[in-house]
Parts: sequence; structure tokens; C-alpha cells
Amino acid sequence: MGLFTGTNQRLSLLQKTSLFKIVFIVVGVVLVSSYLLPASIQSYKFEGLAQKIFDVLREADISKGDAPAVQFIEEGSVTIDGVTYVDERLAPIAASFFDESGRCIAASDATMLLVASQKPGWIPVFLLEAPGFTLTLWIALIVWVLLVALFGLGWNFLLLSIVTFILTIPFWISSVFYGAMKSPPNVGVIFAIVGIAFLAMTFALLTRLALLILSSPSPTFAIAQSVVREAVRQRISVAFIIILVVILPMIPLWIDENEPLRYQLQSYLSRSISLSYIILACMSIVLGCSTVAFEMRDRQIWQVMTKPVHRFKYLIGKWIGIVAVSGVGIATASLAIFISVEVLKTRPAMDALDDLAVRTEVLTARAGKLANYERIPPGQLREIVDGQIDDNQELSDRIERGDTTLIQARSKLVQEVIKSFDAEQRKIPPGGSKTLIFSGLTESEGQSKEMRLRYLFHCGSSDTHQVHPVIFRFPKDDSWIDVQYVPTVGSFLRVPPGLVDESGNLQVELINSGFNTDTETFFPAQYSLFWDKDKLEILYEVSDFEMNFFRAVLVDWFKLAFLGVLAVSTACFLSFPVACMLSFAIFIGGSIGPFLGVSLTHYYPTNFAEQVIAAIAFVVHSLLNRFGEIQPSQMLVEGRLISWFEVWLEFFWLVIVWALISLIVGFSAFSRKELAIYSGQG
Amino acid sequence: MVHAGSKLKIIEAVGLSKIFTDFWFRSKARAVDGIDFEIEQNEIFGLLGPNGSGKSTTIKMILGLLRKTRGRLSVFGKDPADVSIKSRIGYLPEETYMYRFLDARETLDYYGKLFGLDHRIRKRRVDELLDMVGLSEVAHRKIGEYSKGMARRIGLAQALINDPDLLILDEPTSGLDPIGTRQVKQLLQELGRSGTTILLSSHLLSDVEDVCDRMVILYGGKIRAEGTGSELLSDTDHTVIKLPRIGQETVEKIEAVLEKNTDVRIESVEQPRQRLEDFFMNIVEQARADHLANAGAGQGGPTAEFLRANEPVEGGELIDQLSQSQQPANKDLPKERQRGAAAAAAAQSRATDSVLDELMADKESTEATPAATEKSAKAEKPPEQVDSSVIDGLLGDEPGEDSSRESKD
Repeated sequence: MGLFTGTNQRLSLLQKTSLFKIVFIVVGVVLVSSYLLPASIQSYKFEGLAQKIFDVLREADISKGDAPAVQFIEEGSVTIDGVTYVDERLAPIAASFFDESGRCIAASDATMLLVASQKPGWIPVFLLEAPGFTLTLWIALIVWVLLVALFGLGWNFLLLSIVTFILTIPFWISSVFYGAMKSPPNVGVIFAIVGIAFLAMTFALLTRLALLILSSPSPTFAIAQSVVREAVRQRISVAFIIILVVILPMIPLWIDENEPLRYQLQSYLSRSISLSYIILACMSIVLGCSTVAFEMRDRQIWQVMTKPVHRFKYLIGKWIGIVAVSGVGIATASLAIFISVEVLKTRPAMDALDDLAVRTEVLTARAGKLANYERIPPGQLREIVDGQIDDNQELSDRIERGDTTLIQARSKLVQEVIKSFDAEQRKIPPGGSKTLIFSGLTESEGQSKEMRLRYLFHCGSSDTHQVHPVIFRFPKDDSWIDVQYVPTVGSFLRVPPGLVDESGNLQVELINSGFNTDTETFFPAQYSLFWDKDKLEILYEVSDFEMNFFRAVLVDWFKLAFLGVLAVSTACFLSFPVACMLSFAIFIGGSIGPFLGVSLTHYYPTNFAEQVIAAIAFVVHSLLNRFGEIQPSQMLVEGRLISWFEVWLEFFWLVIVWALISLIVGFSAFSRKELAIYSGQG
Repeated sequence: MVHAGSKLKIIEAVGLSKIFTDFWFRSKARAVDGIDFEIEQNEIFGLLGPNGSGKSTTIKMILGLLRKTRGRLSVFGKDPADVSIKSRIGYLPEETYMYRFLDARETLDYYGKLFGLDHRIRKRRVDELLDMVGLSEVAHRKIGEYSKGMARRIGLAQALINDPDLLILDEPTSGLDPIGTRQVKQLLQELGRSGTTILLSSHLLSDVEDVCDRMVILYGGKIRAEGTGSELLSDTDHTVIKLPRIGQETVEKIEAVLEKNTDVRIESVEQPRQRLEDFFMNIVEQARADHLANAGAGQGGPTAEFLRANEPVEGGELIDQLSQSQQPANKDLPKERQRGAAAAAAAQSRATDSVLDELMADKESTEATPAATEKSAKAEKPPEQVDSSVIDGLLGDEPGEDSSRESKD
């Protein structure tokens, strides 16, 4: 032990020397490049080859007797630049890849089969099939090596690598001796252990980077820097960091590989993003409260406030420190999640639909448009309400008795009429039809990728064991399709982009009928069909997953930043436990704000206690709704776009407006506070 | 004693009171009750009093950590809450309240940043201060692992990182061993000589007595006595004659002479004892000479260069100081400016006359001799005027002859 400690101390000092750093950089860059550079080149070649084969097959027309089409059908092969790529299994079924007109309708699937034999065994699929990712990974790892060396952490890295390797030995041995390497748990555990080490090292590196950025000789940054140091050295915050670093790489172990790939990815995204966000939110609150409250309790603040530091700058410094810590945390977590998604998405899909769903529903960024619904004209509304008042003798009697006022009665009737009018627009009787318009689709109009109509219908008793017919008709080209739907179960319909008109409108006619293919006749459905306003939506891809993921991370970071300033501000006038409780209450209230909003529309208080509850819920919803309005993890899981506009809006509200309000409240209390207390010591 | 009424008043308190109240604003304790005092530039001022007498409360009001209830209080002519004056103040609280998760170097670096010191100056000062307080060897240990004495040392170092014009020390020797205590006293004396105004609060009477020019004694939040050490402590009813050891026979002869010539009788004759502090220090010095090992803080080094006005001056700062030197000396200037003016004047002289340069350098180095090699400021003061003819008459001999007589005895 003495020998180890001594050696460790000597090497810890050695790692800070220039010679060690140079050697480490050279060896590190050579090792990383010797594998990832050829892998990157190979993956680009592979992608190019796949594209060429795909192009040849897509253009091939058997009706014209094209040579590539004939060769493919007869031999199951394609020749590119004089080299023939063949899969003998293809020959017997190659004809089925062409439709009646002679065009190859499954060029993509045929390509995947033909290039499968070209996959080099030394590159994992997740690298081979993602050249951009492989190249990025190569560059990122070189930067990583440089940072490790420059921050004087070379020996720490080597030590961590050795410990990691030792920890994985039992799993390697069991793989070698029992052939268990191919069993997912073993591979998963090894990945998890390596992932933990990688995350720990990345966290250390980013922390050093944050300390470096905050090293300016200004009081504000000095305080921020001390918060970062506090976060990584105090047990209370280190506990959160350890939980994050340990649990995150282990989440893939809990994902069932037998599920469809899209569900695996959705489960992983949902769990990992939510978990890391909640952990970091808790850490931001606890750290924010503790760094101020404990500093007052333990009187370190005496030493700080007797220096030329303005109290507002002190609070800003504390906040910047927490933002930096949460930034380091979320960057580390995001890196882990992103790499894991890149690896997970190369797992085999259950079927072609599953594969398609992964690309078009999960790992994408889609914008959505709801159908336009009419609003009841004011004149019509007044006429109906007046008519109901006139016709309702009981109501007239109540007004005369003074049980209610005319204004109250009108107000209630107005709401009921509007609700009824809206519901009527989303209801189609059996055999009936309704034409809906989706506007604002200009940005999707020129796209080659198709749109999707997402729907969730109700009918009758909404028995999920039954299916019901519905017909979607597109007036622009008079095409239609009949489908069967399960009540209360969401589904989607592919909509070609050509159906959007020049104004960016898409017309869809819903017909509550079915089509009998035997008799080739239409028949009315059994029940009326209806849907909620947000359950009929057109979705189209407007961005990629990577940028959407980045924006989601930013939104989460802004939320953490707000929680940090909230915690700092509350700790200015409350003790640690009370400040924590208040901050957590606001965090929870904000997170469930949208849910409260929906609940309130269905909540009708009948007594005083319930009215108080409703009032509290209303206040919480009104004040904090914005915090929970955008839920990045949910949006990523659904493959929905988080636009830059939404990102900046979140920044404006949470980091500028709300943070400023919190700071003003905290500062007004802090500036009046006597930092010393009566100790009885005079 | 430095006691010039025309000097700049660094701290001025008039009718200063502090009443602590409870949640309902009911009076809980009257910690300070209408005190008046002022501390002048370059003065070492002592606040003496038992626990609960109002010393720390007064200091905290001076630092802006507490608000006064009544009266007037100004520091550098401004309200204590004014942030701009904080850059001229160094403060050591009664206990060391520092981040336990930082090490000594990070701690000093942190406080240096709070003063806006740039990287080079911070590094130099941190190194010098760590040397000075004897913590260089343990600079990378977390403060949380430090003993109380070590924490006190780093606390003192942080109070000096900005080379303050006003140094406020609350029980500075609390938790220090006798070696550290002596070093702190020597340091304070040296800082006092170099122009730092010091406010020292303590209930250890010897600390205040050894170091302070002037002091107030507080009790129950009120000032009970105020004045210089001599004013408060001198015993004008007695005269002490210090001689080499003499025998009983000689004492009797002296007594006879006294009886014959005056009405004065000897009240007591005592053999002086060595102070325990001096005895202890001798033992430690001997142990160090024998190279015996000791854990924890090391032996404190000499006073940091920058505190002795020897900090290198560069670039624009030098030009600024040279331009200052063209103006008449201003006693109200902050200490750094005063030092800067002196340094600039020396630099100007060096530029014109190399011989003078050497002479000036010699003079400066002599002036900057570490306190450890000097007697205390009080020891340097001329003894009070006494009528030596009485003693001469008593002994009837020249001093040299007295020595020979002593040896015979």
C-alpha cells in the first residue's frame, strides 16, 4: 500500500510535467487515430457504395430490359465500377422487388442485403453505418485526449483505465470460457463499466474546463469558481454526480431487447433524459440552497462580504457557479445519451415497419399542425343563448327569484354553447363526412419526404377490442384510403407531400364509412366518430434528431439555470431545509403546470374547500405553467421538433425574466440582512 | 506612541450603539452602548474587554456585517457598508471561517481574486504569505484538515493578501502556539511601522500590551478606560532600579543610604524571573538547531516582501508612482500610494546617481530588516527621564567599577 501510494503520488506529480503531457498526447492521438481514422474512411466508403447500388437499383426498369435490372433478377447481383456485388439468396426472390410497372420498389432493402457481405468485421455496425458519427467521434476523442493531457490528468486517466479493465476482466473471462460474449448482459455490463469510467473522466475534464473558463480575477467569477469546486468536493453534491455517472450507463441494461427497436429507443430516451434532468434539478436546488445557506450558517460569508464584493455580484457569482455545474452535468449526461442512442439504433429492428418508425417517428424532428376548426360566430352565439334563456322557464324563474343573475346565467350558457359547437365540429355521424384543412404547411411542401397524419379516434363505448372503419379522402387528387382503427389507440397515415397546395394547405375529408372490397361498395360505420382537438394532427420532418437533441439539452439547461437562481434566492432569506422545500415545491408546481391546467378545465368545485384547492391550482398553473410547457424529453421521445424559437423563448422567460425576478426578490432580502448575528460574545 | 490629532481618522465612532432585537423587535441585548472612539492612520489600536463586552460587535459594525442602531460610524470617511472601502481592509475574525473544501493555496488565491488581483500578483503574494505563515509544506492540504492553529495562520494570511491599509484582527493569537503568537506580534509591529493601521481586539491582555499604541477597555458595551499603554499602565508611585545581582550586604547599605538621605524605604527586593515565553522560545530554538522534526505547520518565514513595501512594481504602475512622486508628500494617501511614492522617489534617484543609488539601497535594506532581528517598537523608545544622580550617589562608583564589584560578590 505504501509503495502504491508513493508511486501514485510521484506519477500524479509527473503527469503535470510537459514531457509526460507530450508523450501522452502523442500516444493517445496515435492510438485513437490508428483505429477510428481507418474506420471513418471505411464507413464513408461503405456509405458511398451503398448509395451507388441504391441509385442503380432505383433507376433500373425491368420493363425496359435495363441491364442492371436483368442482372439483379437473374443473378441477385449488381455491378458497380467493374466490381460485382452479389448475394445468392437474392436471386430467387429478386423479381418480387419490382412492381408491375417494372420499377424497383424496394431498392433500399435490396441494397442493404447486397452490402451486408461488404461489411468489414473489425468495425462495429454503429460506426460503419454512421460515417458522420464516426468522424465526429474521432475528432472528439482527440480533443478529449488533448484536454486530459493539458489538464494534467494523464496518469489519472491511465489509472482509471486500469481499474476499469480489471473490473471488466470477470466478464471477459466468462465470455471466453463459456462463450457468453454474445449474450447481451455480458456485453452490456462491460459497456456500462466502461461507460461509467468514461463519464467520470469526462465529468472531471469538463469541470476543469469550467474552472478554467471561470478563472478570471473578478469577484463574481471567483465566487462562481468556488461553487464549482464546492460541487465536486462536497458530499452533498458529489452524491448526485455519482448517481448520474453510475446510473446513466446502466440504463441500457434495463431495456428489453425483444421489444420493437423504436420502443427500445423511446424507453431509453425517456428514462435517460428524464433521470438525468431530475438528478441535476435536485442537485441544482440542493447546491444552490446549501452554498448560500450554509455559508451564512458557517459564517464563511463574513470573510467574503468584508472584501470588495457587492452583494448582488455575490448572488450572481453563486448562480453562475451553479449554472456551470449543471452545464457540466448536462453536457456529460447528454454525451452519454447521444452515444448510447447511436449504439442502440444499430440494434436489429423487428421488421421493416419498425425500422421505418425508428427513422421517421423517433430519431427525427417533426413539426405538427392541428386542423383548423371554425369558431362560432358571435351573432349566432348570442342568438342561441338568448333563445335558450327565453325557452327555459325554470332559468327565468331562478333569475326572477334572485338565485342567479342574468349575467351568470348567460356566462354559463355561452361556455356550454361554445363547448357544444366545438365538439360538434369533431364529430361525424355514421355515413357522414367532414372536410378538415391543415394550414401552414409551406415548409413541408417542397420536401420529398412524406408527411404523417396522426389520429386517435373514439366511437361508441370506445372498446379497444373492436376495430372500426374510416375513410380518408384527399380532395386534391381525389385519392382515398380506407383503414380500420382501434378506438383510443393512436395510429398514423402516410400522406405524400404532393397533396399540399400552393398556399400550404392540406385538405383531408374524413368519411365515417367503410369499403367492402368484395362487393366494392361503401357502407356506413356503426357509431359516430369523434376525436379530441389535439388528437388529429399532421406531422412532417423539419430537422434532424441531432440538432433537436441539442436544442432539448439547451432547454433543460435553461430550466436548471432557473432552478439554480431560485435556490440561491430562497436561501437568501430562508434556512437550508425551508429554502429546499420552497424550491422543490416551485419545481414540482412548475413541472405539473400543464397538467394542472388540463385538470382545472374538468374540475368543478362544489364547496369552499374545493374552491380553495381550485384557486391554489389556478394560481400555481398561472404563475408556473411556462416552466413545464415544453418537456424536451417527451418531445424527443415523440420525435417532435423543439424549434429555435421555442429555445429562445425558454431562454427569455426562464433565464432572463424569471431569473431576474428571483434575483430581485433574493437580493432585496439579502441586502437588508445582517450577516452577523448576536452571539452573546459581544 | 503615535498620537497626532492632525492625522487622518481611519475609523470614527460617535455615540455608537447596537441593540439586538428579537423577531418582534423587542430589545434582546444592548451589545454596544454609546461608545466614542477614533483610530488614526498608522495607529495600532486595541479593543480590550472580557467576553460579551462588545468588542466583536463593534468590529462587525465597522466591517458592515452589522448595522448600527444609533450613533455615527465612518471608516475611511465613508459608511461601513460602502463596498469601495473594503479593498483597503483586511479582516481576521475570531475564528477561521473558511471553505473546508479548498486547500491553503486555493483559499488565498480565491481571496486574492475577490480583491481583483491579477494572476502574477496573486501567485507571488500567495507564495510569500504561505512562507510567512509557515504553511508552504501543507499548502495542498484541505483547510478542513487543518488544526486550529494552522487555520489561524491561513486566516491571518488571507487578511493580508490585499496589503491592507486597515487591518482588523479579532483575537488573532487565539489557537496559536507561543511561537506563532510571538510571530504574529512581531508581524503586527512591523506592519504598524510600515504604515498599516491596525485594530486589534483581544481579551489576552499581554497581546494588546505588547503591540498596541493606544487602547480602550470595554465592559457591558461601554468604554471604561481609554489611553496609551503608558498612560494606563505606568505606576508613578514606584521607581524600579535594575542592577546586576548584588548581595544582601549591599542591599542593606543602599537601604541605609536611602534612610540617611531620603524618607524612602525599600519595599521589596526581588530576583527578576525570565518570562516563560522567552524560556519556551529558547527551548524551541534549541530543538530547531538540533533539527528535530515537528508535524503540522512549519516555522514561519520572514514577513512577506509585498507587506514590507518591496513588491516589484511594473509598467504603468511605476509611471503612475513616478508621477505621484513629483507631488508633495500626502500623508492622507493610502498606504500603497505612500509606498509607491517612496519607491518612485528612490527609482528617480537611482536614475541620476549610482552612488546615491547604492547608499539608498543600503539605507532601504537597513530599514527593512525583519522584525525578528529588532527589538520591539516599545523597546526602542527612550527610557523615561530619571534622576541618575541618586543612584550614583548611592553606589559612589563608576559603572565599570560596579561590574568588577559584582564579580567579586
